[in-house]
Amino acid sequence: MTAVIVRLVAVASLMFALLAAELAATFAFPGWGRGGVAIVAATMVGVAAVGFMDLGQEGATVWLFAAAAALWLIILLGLGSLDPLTRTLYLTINITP
Amino acid sequence: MSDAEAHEFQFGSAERQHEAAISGMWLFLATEALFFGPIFLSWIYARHADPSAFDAGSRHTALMIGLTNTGLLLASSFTYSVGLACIAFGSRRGMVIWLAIAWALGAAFIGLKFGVEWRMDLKEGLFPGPNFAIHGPARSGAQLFFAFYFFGTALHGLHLVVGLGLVAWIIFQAERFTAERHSPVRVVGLYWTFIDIIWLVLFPLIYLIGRAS
Repeated sequence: MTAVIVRLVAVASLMFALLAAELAATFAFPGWGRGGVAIVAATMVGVAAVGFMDLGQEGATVWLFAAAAALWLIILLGLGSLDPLTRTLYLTINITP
Repeated sequence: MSDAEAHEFQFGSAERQHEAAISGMWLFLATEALFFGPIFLSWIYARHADPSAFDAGSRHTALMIGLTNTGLLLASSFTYSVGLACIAFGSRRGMVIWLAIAWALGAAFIGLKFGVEWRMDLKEGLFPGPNFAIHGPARSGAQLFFAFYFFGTALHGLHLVVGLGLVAWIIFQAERFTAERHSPVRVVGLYWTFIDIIWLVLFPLIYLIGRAS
């Protein structure tokens, strides 16, 4: 049991360290910008899934469902944001008589 | 307890029953991820429409409360996992104590979010509508931000309230669980951590991205 508790303490410490890194990316290193915050947040999600939800110890079915969720989200967010992020807005002039 | 006693009749073994329960929960969580996906997509759309005004709205949020709440949820995921380890090693008393701590941390999140932060936001006139407090060119984008903020946090809070009910149920049913048979504790733990994960996405979208710009 001690080994499990030690592992959980390590995971929790890593999560709090990543939270500190997220704050650092926001305030202390403006050069990292929004990309830095997004990368740290995605890492935190991954660490929580593996460290607290024990994804690494699950079987093929669970991995299939987790991968399906990730794939659906990538399709939803990727294709969904393609339009606003690639659209160019041109100024138009309305001439009213 | 023999293997035949440790599983329901429709499963070939206790191991198969446990596998079905865990897989079923992960499938449910996959649908939940898709449930929250469009909310995150709406953030991308709304921010892209007017980034500076949207970020101006974000800078009106209470960062310290958001940060404290993130710490509370991270700690609650940790304490729940310790509780799960306790029952896996046969300590029912340890499980109850750690799950009670996880429940209290979750309840503290709800109290801070809706009892303090929302009350402050509403008092400052940050609810979108004719009485919205932010004026000038950022008004429209900031209203979009606070529409996302109130909807996203309300939906997350609703999930957390359901999670609190489930954790309380596990605590009150503690007598049923043993080292060999505790799948419900594991299944509720997956849901509990998933709520944490949703907040780990909401937290930067609400409090940090606007300040990082």
